[in-house]
Formats: sequence, C-alpha cells, structure tokens
Amino acid sequence: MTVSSIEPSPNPTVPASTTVRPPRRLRHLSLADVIVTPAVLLAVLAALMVYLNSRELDDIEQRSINWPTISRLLVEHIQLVAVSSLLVIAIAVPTGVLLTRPALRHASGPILALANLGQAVPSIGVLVLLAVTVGTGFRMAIIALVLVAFLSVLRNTIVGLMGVDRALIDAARGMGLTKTRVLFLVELPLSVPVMLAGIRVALILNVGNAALASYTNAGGLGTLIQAGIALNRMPVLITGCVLAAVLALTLDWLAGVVERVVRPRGL
Amino acid sequence: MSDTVTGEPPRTMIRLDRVSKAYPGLDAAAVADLSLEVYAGEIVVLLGPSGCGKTTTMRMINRLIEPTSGRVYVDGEDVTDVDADHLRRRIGYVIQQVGLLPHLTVGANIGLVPRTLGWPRSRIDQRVTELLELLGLDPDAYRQRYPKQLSGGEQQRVGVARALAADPPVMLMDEPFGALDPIIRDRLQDEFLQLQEKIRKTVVFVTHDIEEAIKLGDRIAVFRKGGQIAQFDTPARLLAQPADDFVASFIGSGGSVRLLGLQRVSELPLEPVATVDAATARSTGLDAEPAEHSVVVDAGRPLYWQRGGADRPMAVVRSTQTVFEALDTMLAAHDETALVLDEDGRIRGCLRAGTVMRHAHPDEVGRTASAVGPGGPGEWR
Repeated sequence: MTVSSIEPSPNPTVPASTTVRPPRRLRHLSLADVIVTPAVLLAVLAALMVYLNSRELDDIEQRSINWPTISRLLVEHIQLVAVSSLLVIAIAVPTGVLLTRPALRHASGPILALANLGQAVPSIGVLVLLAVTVGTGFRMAIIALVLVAFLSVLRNTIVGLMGVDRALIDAARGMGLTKTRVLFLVELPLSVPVMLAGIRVALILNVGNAALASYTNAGGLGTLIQAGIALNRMPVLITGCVLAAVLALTLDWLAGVVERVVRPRGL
Repeated sequence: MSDTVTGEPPRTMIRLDRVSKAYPGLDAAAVADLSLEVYAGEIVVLLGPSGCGKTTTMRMINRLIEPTSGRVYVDGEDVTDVDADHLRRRIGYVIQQVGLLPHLTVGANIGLVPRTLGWPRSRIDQRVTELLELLGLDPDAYRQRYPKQLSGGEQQRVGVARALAADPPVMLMDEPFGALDPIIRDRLQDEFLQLQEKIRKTVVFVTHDIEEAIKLGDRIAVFRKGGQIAQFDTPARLLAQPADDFVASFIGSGGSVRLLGLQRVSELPLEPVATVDAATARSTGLDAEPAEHSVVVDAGRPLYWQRGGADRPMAVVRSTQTVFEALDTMLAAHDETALVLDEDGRIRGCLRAGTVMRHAHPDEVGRTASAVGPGGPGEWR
C-alpha cells in the first residue's frame, strides 16, 4: 500500500462528479495505441500483395497462393492458436491459484523452477516427440502447444498472486471476507496485469509454434512455409512467413488492448 | 470511564481467559497464559516492544491467529470456536498499512462489510455518506476516488470508516497511525478521541509508542517479551507507580511531569480574581493599592494584571487545557500566576504555580482525565 505517500491528492477541491471522463472501459486506451499497430500490419499486407502481383506465379505457386487455400490455412492456424490458448488459460490459471493456497504453497517453488526449465525445451522437440509417441493431427498439435505455453501462464499466475500485498489480504480477512471472496475480490483482480502478461506471451508462443504443427500434419500457415521450402518457391515461403508474423502481431496487439481494458482501475 | 465514575459495575466486552499462543518449533510461547478484560466503551492500549506478543494477542480476539489454548469471550459469548468470518464482521479492524483495496473506490471499500452482510444498496450508500461525514471527508468529493488518490492521513480515515461500516461494538486497531508523519499522526489521534466520544466503541489499540498510549488509552497493558502483561493500569497510575523496573524503563523518565499532561486545569483549585474596568483603572491611576489578583478588563476581555501594569506579560489558559500546557504558558510568560478562562472566554479564576506543586498528584488524576471531549486538545491547536 502507498502508506508512505502523503502528498496532497490532486485537485482536492474539484468534486469527482464534475470531472469529465471518457467512457468507463476505454479510459486506458489512447488513439495511438489503437491505430498504429493495425496500420503498420495493413501496410505489410499491402506490400505482400504488391510483391505477389508483381510476379508471374507458376502452376506450383498458384496451387498454394490462392484465396481459398490461404483462408483455409489461416482459419486452421487461428483454430490451433485459439483452442490451445484457451486450454492453457483454463488449466494454468486454476493450477496457479491452487499452488498459491497455503496448503500447496510449498510446492510452488519447485514447480516454478520446472516452469523455467520447461521454457528452455525447444518446442519443435516437443512436437516431434509427441508425434512419435502419441500420433499426428490437430489434437496432438493442441497437446504440444498447450504443453509449451502452459508454463508461462502458470508462472505468471503464481508470481502475480504471490505479489499481492499481504496487508491487503490481512485487512480483507480481518473484515470477515471468506477466503473465496478474498481470492475473487482481492487476489485475482490485483494479479490480472501480471497474469495477462503471461497469457500474452503464451499467445505469441502458440502462433509461432502452430506454424511448426504442419510438420505433424495439423495444418495451419506452416503448410505454406513447409511447401515453400520443399518446392523451393520463394513467394510461397514468403507468403507463409509474412502471414504468420502478421497474425502473431495482430493477436499481440489485441491482447494489449484487452490488457489495458480489463486492468483494474485505481492501480 | 463513565462506568466507574457513576459507580456502576463496568460491563466486560472482551475477555481473554488464560490464552496462549505457541508456534511449533519455537521454545518460547508468543503469548503465555494471558488473561485480560476490556470494558465496554473504553480504549485499552496494548503497549510493548516489538515481538512482545501484543499484536498476536490482538489478533487472537478476531481469531486471525487461533489461540493454542484458552478461551476468548466477546460480549459474554465464547467465540473461541464460532465461525471466524462471521465473528470478524462484528469486529472492526484497522491496520497500519490501511489495506484499502486499490482497485475499489473509497465508497466500495467502506461498503465491503455491509455488502457482505447483504445490506440493500440504498442503505449501504447512506451509511457510506454518514461515515465519510463522520470522519471529516466530503462524501461527494471522496466517494468515487481511488485509494491511490488520497494522502496517507485520508487513507487511514477511510480505513477507520471502513472498520466502522457495520457499526461493530468492538474495534481492533494495530498501530493505525504508526506510518503517518508526526503532525498528521497527532491530528488523527485527536480526531480519533473526539470520534470515540461520539461512538463509544470498545477499542483494543496496539502501539509501541508510549506517548500515543498515554494520550489515547483509558487503560494501558504493558507487555514484556514472552507475551506477558507487566502492568495493566490507567495512564496516570502507570506513570506514577510503574510496577517494576521493566515498566519504569519502558515509560522513561519524567513520569511526574508527564502526569501533568493528563490533568485538566479545571481539576485544580483556582483562586478568585477581582476585575477592574479599564476606565475605572485609568481614573484611579496607580495610587490605589490593587487587590492580590486583580485584572483589568475591557468589555469582559482581560487586558493585564492591575499589579504590574500593562508591561507585565499575562499567562492565559483555558480550564479545559492540561496542567502541563498551563505550566508551559506560565514558564513562557515568566509568571507564577496564570489567568484561567472557561470555554466561553469568561474569567474563572487564576492558577498559581504553587497550587500545581501541591495538588498535582496521581491520586487526583481521575480516569476521565484522559478522555477528551469537545474542547479537548484538538480544539486549541
């Protein structure tokens, strides 16, 4: 708590009701935040279009670079990312909550160490290992993506919850709030910024790693990259890479917007 | 307080019955076999060096720390085994770090316990307005603010308001003013005493600051290491008759002088003062032999002592001020007589230094001496 800050509060004479504020949930957003990244991404896509139009595409290239194929691969890729990210959040956040409860708190240290170790394992290794042991396809790719991204969300959830000021929890418990209410009213809202940062990292990891999933027959934009390499077709390779990168940056931008909107006020 | 003055038996609000707290792995108990009674409407200060078990003792009352053995009674009810969350909703809790939830507005913070108790929204809003006014914060200006936008002193006022939200009979306060700078701390202490005059809560107040304890406490429990009470007494008796060397050293020197801070001028016998109108004084001049204590007044306002004339500095005190402040004023004026006025500024008599020497005695310091009503120290700052 900011007990030490005793400087006078700003505008003590101005009643709060008369100050003009932007709509409640958009206050954290500035115009630049919202516009700059999409504009850059659109420019990159336009450049890609110009590049592709400037070339005569041969038969092989045309088989890969056409709207139905690209949109199908894009949808597959987004599916991989969405499903794996949601699963990561659904598993890692509750696990993080459990590991910060008094009964299990002693386990969180070793698990965090494991989390750091887990991040160091190359994701391609996990994918191939799973493909060999479990099998190929969409579901297997999801399992691999969850495994790789899980630890970053778990780690940030634990760090976020542990970082909540103990005095706040003490005050809330001392007022007679139940442990569950303290969790949902105090601990989770206050660790949202740290947790969201972890989720954002997981999202980007998933976009990148989903591009590798095509090696295990799970589809996605990796298919273009793979084809470009295998057939030695530069436009196909570039199209796959640029689209994957644009998707990653778009999701990162979206996550950034969400982060600012759901961050509790008053922090 | 008033209970003992009127002779009625005081009602016990909190009773600790041979309570102990031992932590596994530690030889010495944090609190050992401690019994304590707190009467309804009084402020009991738990005072002691850090690690003496005073906070542990306080936290066992609302069971944030579960006692290892012994019983805890609140308002006659054995609460040692009742649901702790429900118990805590009946006990206000204020801590040094304040602990306002930073993502909730001041209004929402104060309304937390009422919301938990399921009060209707309109009643919560009304209560928040009431409490902000009680704590001297403009409800319109503060209700929608976030804790970050408040100064340290304002935050702790909101902390106290939040503890009072559901009108609990008992308040536990753990060094609530400890993190504030001395000026703000002093002001909040004064305000708290004035507030207590109105709300008459049973307060258990933890501090390591002996001056704060003497100022606020109706009774003070001095803790020694190992969670034992060395002395449990009124501030006056603590200063006058420390039970042992530990208490004496903890209180420090100058106990007799500090006792004067607990005694009001009105509690001492005053000597009569004659008044002479300014016009009469001028016409008679200095020929007439003035009476022993005779003051020249103009329209009821004291101007100067007739003996000594306008050049003699005049020490003036209010009857509600402490004897300490009266002596201070007399020293500053180099005069052994101070003119005493009542609250409306009328002359009540005069106080002589000799009277202080003869009558300032612990037996004459009543338990009400530390209670500050309207016209307490805060008013004369």
